[in-house]
Formats: sequence, structure tokens, C-alpha cells
Amino acid sequence: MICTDDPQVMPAAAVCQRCSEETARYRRREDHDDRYCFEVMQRAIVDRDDQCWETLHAVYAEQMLAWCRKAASGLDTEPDELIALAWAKFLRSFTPAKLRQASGAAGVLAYLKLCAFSVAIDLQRGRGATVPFDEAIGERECADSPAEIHAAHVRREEFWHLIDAHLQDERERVFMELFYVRELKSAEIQRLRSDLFPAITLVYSTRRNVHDRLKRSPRLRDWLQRDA
Amino acid sequence: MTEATARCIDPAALSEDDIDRFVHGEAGEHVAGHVGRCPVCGDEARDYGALSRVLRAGLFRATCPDSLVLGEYALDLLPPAERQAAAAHMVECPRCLVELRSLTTALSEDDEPIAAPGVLGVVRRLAATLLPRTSGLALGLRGGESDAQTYSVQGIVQLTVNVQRAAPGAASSVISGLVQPGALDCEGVPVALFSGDDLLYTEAVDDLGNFAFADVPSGLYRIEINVPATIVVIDPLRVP
Repeated sequence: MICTDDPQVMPAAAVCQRCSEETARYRRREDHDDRYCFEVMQRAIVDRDDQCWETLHAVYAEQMLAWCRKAASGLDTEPDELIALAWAKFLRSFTPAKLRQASGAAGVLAYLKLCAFSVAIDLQRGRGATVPFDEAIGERECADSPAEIHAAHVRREEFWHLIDAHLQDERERVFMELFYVRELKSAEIQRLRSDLFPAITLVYSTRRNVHDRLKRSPRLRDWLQRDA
Repeated sequence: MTEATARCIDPAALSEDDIDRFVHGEAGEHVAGHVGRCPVCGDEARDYGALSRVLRAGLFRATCPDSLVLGEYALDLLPPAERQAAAAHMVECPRCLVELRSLTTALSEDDEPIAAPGVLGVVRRLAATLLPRTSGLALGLRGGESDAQTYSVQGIVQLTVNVQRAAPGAASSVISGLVQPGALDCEGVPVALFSGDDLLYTEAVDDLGNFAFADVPSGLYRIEINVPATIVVIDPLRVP
């Protein structure tokens, strides 16, 4: 029988067990070896190994809760609501290429931590709009939970592409960016981009032209009816 | 049989853009009065208002990078082109810069009591230390070297900052800075000027390492340079 401590050749069950033990050692401030956890991370991310993925969840569950609790402070949301989204974001975004860039387990955990704080920022962004999107397009329920806000974010991206397809030139794009995306006033737009808007009347006429075109757009009408 | 088409009660009262301006709170009282009296223009204003409300809600921050992109900037994981694009966006977008700052701060903080192995140190928030005055280091700084102060950041990079009156006798000053070439690649990265927690101005470090803030009133400020994986902080900076 061959007995080895090399994490790369250990069976999944054994490397998962060692990862749990080494993490417990670390938390007791004893000498530890994070190669086993890094191997679990690699197998979870590159090989999509279910057992390793579950181990990753279990070993860092408490840590993830602590990060989400901190990220959610002042947000009027339960940390539990962020946890599933943070793991999903990590699974979606932490590609094998990023794993190769990561400096061992520390780099992977930094990304996991980033995901926890990133979903909290998405939540803030969703609530930060002057007019909630769901309300403006006539949805009955206001998107308030992290999952609903994530869905609203996806719809918003789709909406931007739809609007962008109606714009005809650089001046219209700059206007939409500054007026709607960055919420600047007409006078501020004229001051900031006097190269495109030498007079404020040009800001007004650009807005009216875009609005008239959008009002007549069957695509926009269909989109709003479908989404409402 | 033909349907009667509703008409504006006084077509000469408004110009082409007036209803659109009214919807956005930019028209005079005579426009509001007309819209209030004329059912046709009232309906048109309601239509415009509904469209504008949808656009305002749907497009708010639509072109801002995903929060994860800001985080990957903080962790220095972005490829060069994406890194430059993110930096350029943050110079123009205070909201994203504030988010980057909160992400960088969170990533640089210790995770006690449930520490994860080694996360600390992946991202750093470094305080610059004021060095004794010398004259040579300020060469190349915009605006001369008369009141230049030089800071060292843990031996990684040196910064020279100069505060000068905007004009003789003016109430405000110009802060100009020079990041000495070193271990950190600062070209194009956002530099932010804070007063307390308020972000006042954002500029980019140019290809020669310079940055400047104009019209800064007297007071105590903080400068933060947002290099990937590192925020360099000068705090406090006194503007007389």
C-alpha cells in the first residue's frame, strides 16, 4: 500500500479531510499546511469535483458568514441572503485562469471575500437608483431581496443595449451617458462637453430627438410590455 | 366618419423643446401654466414623463463596470487593457471610485476572529510617511518646488506633493503631485482628494507621474492613490 502526503495524488476524500484538519490547525494558531486546501480549491474549480466543492463550502462557511455579516452592515439585509449569491458569483467568476493567477489558497480566499463584498455593492447599486427600475416599468413588486436585485441588474444591462441600439451618433451617446447614467443636469452636460454641445439648446434638442425616437420605437414598447 | 383630432389650445405658446424641458424641471412658469391648461400638452408631458422615468431608472449606472471588475482591479487580477479601462472609468465616476475604496479597505482588513489563511496582505492600504525636506526630489514637479513635501511609502514608492496658491492673494490653492517611478505602475490610476469621508475631486496620474487638483480651499485633506492591490494614502495634507 502506498501512503503519500502529496495532495496532488491523494484521493478526494483524503485531501478534503486534510484541508479541514489544516484549517482547524490554522485557527488554533498552530503550524499548518495550506497545500491541501489549495488542492481542494483546484479540484472544485478546475475539475468541478462535487466533494471538493462541498468541502470548500463547509470549511469556509463560517468565514463566509462573517464576511457577509460585515458586508451587509448598514444595508438592511440579512447576511444569509448574501451568502448564496456570493458563492454563486464565485463559482461563475473564479475561472481556472484566475486560479492560475492566484497566489495559493490566500489568493483564492481573497477572491471569495471579494465576492461577498461585491454582492453587497450590487445590492446597494440596485437600491441607489433615484427611481427603482421595477417600479418605473410597472412591476407590482419592488425588487428588494439580493436575488431580485440581481435579476433587475441583468434586466438593466439588457435595457441599456436596447436603448443604445436606438442612438445615432456620438452626441446622443454622450448625452444619454451623462444625463441618465451619471444623472448630470443639462447645464452641467453643456459645461462638461461644450465640444459636443456648444449651446444648451443643443442639449435640449438632443434629448427631445432621442425621446421622440424612443417613444415611437416598437422594440422598446414590446420590451416594456413583456417586462411589466 | 372621421375622428376629431385634439389640438393644442395655443400652439404658439410653446417652443419645440418646452414640454421636454418642463418634464425635467427646466422650463419656466409660463410652460407649466400652459401644460396645466392644455389637455393635449398635458398628455404629452405625461408620456414624456413616463418615458423619462423608465430611462432614468433603467440606465442609472448602466455603463459602470461590474462590482467584481472593481474588485479584480483591487486584487490586481485584470489584464492591462481592462485595468486601464477600469482606471479611466473611475477617474470620471466618483461612485465607482468610492466602491473601489470600500472593496480595497475590506480586502485589506484582518478577518479576525475567524481568520482565513493568509488573505491579509493580498491587498494593502499603505500610509505615506513624510520625509525631511530636501530639494532634489521635487524636480520635475509641476508648479515648482517651493513648498514641496516628499513622502515615502514603505520604501516602495516616493511621492512629492506641492501646495501653492492658485494665484497671488487667491483664497484657494493648487495641489500638485509627482509619483516617482518605482515598484508601482501608477500611470492612469485614479488619485482622489478627500475631506473627511467626502470625495471632492478625482484626477488621473499622467504618463510622467504627475497629478494636480485645482481650486482647493484651505483645510485638512487626504490623498488616496488607487493602484491595483494597493491604496497609497497621504493623511493629513494641510492646505493653508
